[in-house]
Order: sequence, then C-alpha cells, then structure tokens
Amino acid sequence: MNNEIAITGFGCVIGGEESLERWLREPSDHSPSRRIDPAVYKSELSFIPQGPFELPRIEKIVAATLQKTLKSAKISITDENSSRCAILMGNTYGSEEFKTSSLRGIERKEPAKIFLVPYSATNALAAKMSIMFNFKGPDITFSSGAVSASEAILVGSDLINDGRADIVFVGGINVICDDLEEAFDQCGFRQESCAFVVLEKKKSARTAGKKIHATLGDGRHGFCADKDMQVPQKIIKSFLGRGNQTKSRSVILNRGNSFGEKFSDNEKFIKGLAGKKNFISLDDLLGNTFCASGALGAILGSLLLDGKKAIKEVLFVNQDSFGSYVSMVIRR
Amino acid sequence: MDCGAGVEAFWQGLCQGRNTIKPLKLIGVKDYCCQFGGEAAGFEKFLKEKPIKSQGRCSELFYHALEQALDDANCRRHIPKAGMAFGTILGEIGSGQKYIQKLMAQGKKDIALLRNYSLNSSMAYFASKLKLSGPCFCVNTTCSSSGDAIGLALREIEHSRADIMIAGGADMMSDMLAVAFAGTEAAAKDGVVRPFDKNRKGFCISEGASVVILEELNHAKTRGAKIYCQLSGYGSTSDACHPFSPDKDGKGLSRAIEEALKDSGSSFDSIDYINAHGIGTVYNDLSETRAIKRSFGGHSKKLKISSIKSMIGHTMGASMGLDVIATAKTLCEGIIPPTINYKTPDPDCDLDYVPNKAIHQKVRRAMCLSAGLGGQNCAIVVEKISP
Repeated sequence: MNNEIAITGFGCVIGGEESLERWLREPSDHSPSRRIDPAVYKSELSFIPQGPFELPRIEKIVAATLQKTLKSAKISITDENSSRCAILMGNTYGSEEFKTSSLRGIERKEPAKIFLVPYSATNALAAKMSIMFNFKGPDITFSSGAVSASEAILVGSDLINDGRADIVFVGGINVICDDLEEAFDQCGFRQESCAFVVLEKKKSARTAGKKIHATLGDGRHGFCADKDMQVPQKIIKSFLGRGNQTKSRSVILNRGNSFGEKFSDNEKFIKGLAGKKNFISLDDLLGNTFCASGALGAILGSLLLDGKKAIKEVLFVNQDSFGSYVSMVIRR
Repeated sequence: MDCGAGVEAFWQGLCQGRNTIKPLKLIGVKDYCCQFGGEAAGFEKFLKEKPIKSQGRCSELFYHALEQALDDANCRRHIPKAGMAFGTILGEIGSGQKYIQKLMAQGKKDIALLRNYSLNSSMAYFASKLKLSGPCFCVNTTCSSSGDAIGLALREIEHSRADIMIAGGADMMSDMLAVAFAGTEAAAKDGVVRPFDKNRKGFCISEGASVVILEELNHAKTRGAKIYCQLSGYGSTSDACHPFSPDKDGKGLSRAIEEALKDSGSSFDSIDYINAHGIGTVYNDLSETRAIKRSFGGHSKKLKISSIKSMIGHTMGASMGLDVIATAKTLCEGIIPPTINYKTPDPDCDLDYVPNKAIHQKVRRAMCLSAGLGGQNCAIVVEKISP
C-alpha cells in the first residue's frame, strides 16, 4: 500500500449508539446494546422502494450504513462511475439467523425455503448491496474472521493503486443470532455493528475538493500462529521506534483481546510498549465487533487524527483468534 | 480432486468425457432435495495414512488437494513469504449442522463446533500446520470463490507481499447445499448436466477441492520448479442486476473478460480456448454466450469453449480452481476436454462448445470464466510459458 489512498467518508451503526463520534466523546455516557434496531435508521432506508417482502434485518443494517457512508463521502453512483465502484466486505458467518434457521429446518425435515439460496452464502449481502447501490466493480466478501474488514481495506487500496477502481466501499458486518449468541460470548462480548469507509485516490479526492479524513499507508497482512505473537509485536516495535525518532505522537490501536489469555497477554504487552497514553484497545472500547472491527478501527483512527490531541499517525493492528493479522498506518 | 482422487485421475476422466454424477449418498434429507450430484471418492486411503484431527470433510478434501499440490511443486521446505488464499461458499457446514443438532437435542452450545463452522477454519488450520507467515485469507464470491482466491493471490505476489501463494478452494457435500438448490429451477433433477444444449435443465451439486501453487516466475525458475503455465490476467466485476439471475446480456461477465485481457496485456484474438462457467441453466449459459460474443466479436466463432461441469457437476467454492487446473493441463497436453451430454444445438448458444469428445489442439492462451450467484463474475487468463 502506498500513501496515495485517502479515506473520504465513513459510516457505522452500533447497537445502542447512533454516533461513534459521540460514543468516543462521551464514552461513559453511552448505553451499549448488543443488538441494532434497524427502525432507528428509517430515514437512511427511505430510498428503498416498498416491495412485496420486507427486507431482512441484516440487509437493512448494511443498507443504512452504506447510505450514511455515501452521504459522508458526498458520492452519487451514476451509470458513468458505477463500473469503477467496488464493494469489499467482511462477513464470516453470513446471515447467521438465516443459516441457523435453515439448519434447524433441515433437522425438522421442513421443505426448502426459496429465499434460503441467496442468504445461505456470506457474499449474498455484498451482492445485494451491489444491486441496491449499483456498484459494478469487484464485489468480494472476505471471511477471515475478525480481520475480514481489514483485509478488505488492504485489497481495496490495491484496487485503487492498480487503477482497477476509483471508489471502493470497504467494510464489514457483525450481527448476532440467538442460536450462536452464548457460544460467541466465550469469545468476548460481541457487539452488533456495521461499518464502511470510502477509499479513493488522494490526488483525485483533493482535485474534487473532498474532505480527506485520513490517508492509509504501510499496510501488511500475514499469519502468526505462535503463542507469543512475535510478528505483530515486531511490527509494533518497528512503528514505535520510527515514531520516537520523528518525535511525532503515535498511537497504537489494537483489536484482539477477546479470545483467551494469549490475546489479552499480547494486548498487555503492546500496551506496555506503547505506554498507556498512546494505546487504545478497540475491544475494550466497543466490545468485540468481529467482522466490522477492521472498518471501525479505520474510522476510529481517522477520528483520532481529526481530534485536538495532536496525533500524527495511528498504527491499527487487527488480529484474529485463528492467527491472521492485518496492520495499517492511518495518517493525518 | 473432485470425483477422482488426484489430478491425473481427474484429467483422464475429463479427457474421456466421463460423467461422474451419481445418486447422492452423503446427504440425509432426500425427500425434498436434489437427488444427484458428485461426491468425492478415493481419498479415504490417503486420510487413513495422514489423518487430521478436529476438522471436518471440507478440510479433508482440501487437505488431499493441498498435499498433492505441495508434492507436485516440490514445496515442502519452509518458505518465509508464503501465504494462502482459500475460497469457499459454505466451508465446514457439517460442523454447523452438528452444532444445531446438539443444540436442539441437548440444549448444548458447543464452541469447538462453532469455531470449525467459521468459514476460515480450514484455511487457518492448514496455514498453522504449514507454519505460513505470509498473507492468509478466506474469500467468498459463491461460484467464483476459488477463482477470486487465485486472482487475489496473484495480486499478493505482484505486490511483493508473498513469494509463493497456495490458492484454491473447497466445498463439501451437505444437506444445506442440497436443500439450498432444491427450491430453485437451477437444479437438473434428472441428474444430467447439459451445458449450452437446447434442452438444458440445470446443474448438479458436487463437492471437491482445488489447490494451485502460484509463484513469482523468477522465484520458480531459480528453485527449478516445474512450471505448468503462467497466470497472466485476472478480472472481477459485479452484474449489480439480480440476486438469482445473471445479467441477460452478459454485460458484467463481459467486463470481467475485458479486465482480465487488459491485465494480461493480451488481445482478444490471442485467446484459443475458454473453460466456461457452463453451469447448464437456461439463463446462465445464454448470458455467458452473449458475454463471450460481446467481448470477442467475430473471434468468438473461432474459440473452442467447453464446460467441465457437464462431467463433474458444480463443485461450488472449488469449481473455478478446478477449471484453472484443467486449463493448465490443456496448455501442457494440447487436449481440450469436451462438453458432454450435448445433443441438441440451441440457436441462441451458437458457438463451438467442443461437444461430447475431447479434441487435440495446441492452445497458447486460454481463459477461465465464472459467473457466481448474486452476479459476481470472474475471468482468469492462463498461458503457455515461453521456454
């Protein structure tokens, strides 16, 4: 990834809170609710024509988030630019409610439901969003657990750098369903959430007079199954070493303390390296937002840079309990 | 590989036009779902010798393909910058089914089954086993999943984030898969897949796994690796049209074809052969034919086009990887596998689909196509490597 990728807009919905900005401004004031009520987003969803069937809850959540994101980036999708617009989305368990209810139906030997087909695959959501918003560029779903949306951001940046797309919507969704809820609790408190960021070429965004929230640089991804998490820790040490030399204020944003001792020990170690003042745990702040966490981290990083605390750059490190990790530098 | 253990058995079957669709044995919900499909066989002996613990059938299928690919590429030693791109639609869906069975019968929520059910569990299991440290990710674009995994793996190498990428996909036979397509008109209820034929009735579900080892060309040459072909172009687009049906004019797939040609730096008339998506449904085959005509113009009449799904069914997340393997063999062997069960030409699908018998023909450059449910399109260009 080079330094030419700009974040020109973002949107998110989180259970119990409409605005991530407000949540961050007054962290003690928010009342988290693990479930999102799509009825809250009536105005965002007003563009969808009334059909014979009501949209599934998960589709409403993603559509509302994308609508917020489009508005934030001041983008209109037209026939002229639609083939240059891509959507890359993180989603690992798919529409859990549909999948588990289908599996229950199989156990009860119930006849197949026609709507099962488009919802049984995790990429169905991104495909539906492509149709709804007329995105005709690449439409790819990453199912890499908690790092899914971070993977989407790296690949989205590649698409722009390589000239394969002009506007890329990258994000992820995390919803909870009753059948899986308690089991997931063992992986930390899961918070329903959906988030997207818009990536564009910095030069084009600047020429168009758009607000650039942040730029992305130094993206890396890899796999680290060792219990000491040596590779992600090496990345952090290298980043902090560079930061100290330039005397800029560098902040580490880490995601991945929700699954077991190995991860919480790793986070403590990183916090020790960065110092309390320069460390934020995304999971501590928002709960385990799983497949949405990559986009939420990018948004949070952008908001930190926009704030008054003279932060110059944020290293966002996202780690999945299976071993995949993604790191990226978010710059002012 | 699917319906035959090993690349050679798979390839020989394709060259002989062998139909591997049979009545399904592995699924339990036979009353109201697809009755025919392709179930993998012949890899049980391998698993007996090299068992893997705690994983399900999807991983077992992938494991068999992975071991063959690693041996074939002489790629057993630890490679510092190696990664894995894995495509799947339902992954270890069997674990999901067991989870729900246990929940309904005993009220117990089994976290081990839940973790296996995660789509990336197979990828992570093998990445960990092989001690990979490069990019490892899991992709889902329905039928194109392993194609996009291969395409994205190509980008990882192009961007110097990996020297070697293990890329492909897997999907297992499951009740969920059988039920998913039972309620649609896309399933060939008579168990005969007839791509591009006037009387085509749909596809048959199959299971399988595909793995290719991608490597930066000089890296491969330096270590003396056997090189089958060059992966030179990848294009990916969305129809943005309909959740079930493809764009009837094939515009989305046509854009993917053009992207892949542009990426490979080759002209449309340099393509000799297309390994088609050729799923066997009325709308898909028509849309694909129109996409080919739209992109290749008059050259479309000179192209050889065939669908291996006529023989092996639709292996879901593994399918495009199997197409790439078959096409690599075509480039090496000079044999184009046929489209079997082709009896009655369709005036709307009027290209050369290599009916019923394989043909001997030298192919310099070829393309693999996939058009996934939901409108995801993928095109990959492969070509012979210059000596």
